[in-house]
Amino acid sequence: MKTFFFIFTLWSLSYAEHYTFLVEPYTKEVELEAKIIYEIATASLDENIVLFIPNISPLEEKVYANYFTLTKDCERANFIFINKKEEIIECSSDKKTLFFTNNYRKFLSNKKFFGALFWNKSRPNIVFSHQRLEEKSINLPQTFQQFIENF
Amino acid sequence: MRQNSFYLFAPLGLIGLILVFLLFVTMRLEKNIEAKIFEIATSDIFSIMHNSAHSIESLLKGSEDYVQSVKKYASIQQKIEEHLNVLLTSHVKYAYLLYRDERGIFRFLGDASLNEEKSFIDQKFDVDSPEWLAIYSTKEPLIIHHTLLHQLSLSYLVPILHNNRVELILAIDFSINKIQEINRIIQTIQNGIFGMMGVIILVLLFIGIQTKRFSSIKQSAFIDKLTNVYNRNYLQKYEKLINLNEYIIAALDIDYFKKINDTYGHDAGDKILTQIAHILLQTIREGDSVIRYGGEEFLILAKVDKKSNYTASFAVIERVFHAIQTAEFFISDTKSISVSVSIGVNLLAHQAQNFQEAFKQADIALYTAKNSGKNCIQCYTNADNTSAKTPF
Repeated sequence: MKTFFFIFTLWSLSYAEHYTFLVEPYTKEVELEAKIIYEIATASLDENIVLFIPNISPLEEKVYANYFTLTKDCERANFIFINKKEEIIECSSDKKTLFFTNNYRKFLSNKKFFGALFWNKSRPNIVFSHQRLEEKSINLPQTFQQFIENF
Repeated sequence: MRQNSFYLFAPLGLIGLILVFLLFVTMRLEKNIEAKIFEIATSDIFSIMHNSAHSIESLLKGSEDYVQSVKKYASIQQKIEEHLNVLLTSHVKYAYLLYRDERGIFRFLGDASLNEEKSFIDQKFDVDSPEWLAIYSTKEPLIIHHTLLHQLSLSYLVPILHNNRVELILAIDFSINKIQEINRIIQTIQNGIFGMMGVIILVLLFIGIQTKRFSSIKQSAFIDKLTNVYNRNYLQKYEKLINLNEYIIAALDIDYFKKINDTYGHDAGDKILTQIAHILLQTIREGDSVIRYGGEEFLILAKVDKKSNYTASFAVIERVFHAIQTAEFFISDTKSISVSVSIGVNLLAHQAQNFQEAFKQADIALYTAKNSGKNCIQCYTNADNTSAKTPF
């Protein structure tokens, strides 16, 4: 009986990674970020969202997959979220593709981004450019009006 | 005469109340300590912040529009940043100056953060809670506790007024470390208090167990081992507590007991005593008591029912008498004999000065019963210290 419990315990521990609440590194920020991006993407596009995140991490992949259809090919995506340090990628796609960033400075300097979700003073901040929204014919619902800046 | 359960439950209830009170006090104490530690830990930085707010206000004195003045003059921006930089410590993660535009959106006018984290002048700032708006109505400093942001514990906001209107807000955000440190101190105090409570509970438990053991030892000292009824020690201990208005007293003696012992042996005598005691215990009511006074003599304290005026109490004695008369007493596995008893009853126990006197009067009646041919009940009368015989 002791041997059985010993083997059972070893077997349980070897699969412990499955119990995310126990050992898997997990950040609430990624979950919150994914939820907000989902809200923004579905409000911005009327079609099924196919999301591309360059150099997506395994954790992000796991969390974002709960909300989006993910792709590893930017040309198949209609929503690109650049949340790492790399520069904006070029995608030769005919489709209407929206670019979103997690960096306020990138958002200011590159007109390709119609908005940004970034952490300011440890708080999630959202910003959209009024002009860029018009250029891309994006009509955000009233709830997003407080995040739209007049430039 | 039976042990009142009040004496068992009252101390337990009292201990329970004390524990609940201690728990309540601990909780209050914990809150007070938390508030006090928080006050001690933050009072300095709050004071410095108030000074900074005054300095910023002084910088802008004379200006018609504080916000436009800050936006317009780089020198003012620089001085504001110097004030903000002073506020940053290992626990104060962010210090910044905000205003609220005509759309109700908060925007930066100064930020002590460095590099990438630094916000631009006029950059929009999405605050995390509608609590922030309260400062515009109260015009007083405001503490906001963060429960959802896991890097920040609380924010402290100081309003900078212009024409009695909140024009700017000086804000700092405490990192979670501050509260974690406070919580660690509180945790230590809490552990100490709970440790003390644990010790108190253990001591009370120990006292309780010891009291129960003592009480059971005491109880066994008061019970006659052969007959399982109270013994003379019990009577001696509690006779002063017996309320004579509540009882009639009967002294019962087994007739010819010496002869039984001599004829059938002491073992047979013991069996008779055991069976008599058993009949007594089976026949008496709740509230009545039986005491083996010594040898073959028993004492019955029959509770007086005020309504029936001794009738019911005397009926108990009669039932005992008849039960013994009709019972078969086994002196061995096969052999049984009949046994009779003489009983002296004192119905006037309430008139006696004390228990000894009341008992003596019952004993006088018993003596009369013995002298009247035994196997009868004799009641004590007051008339001439004699007793009236009840023939059966």
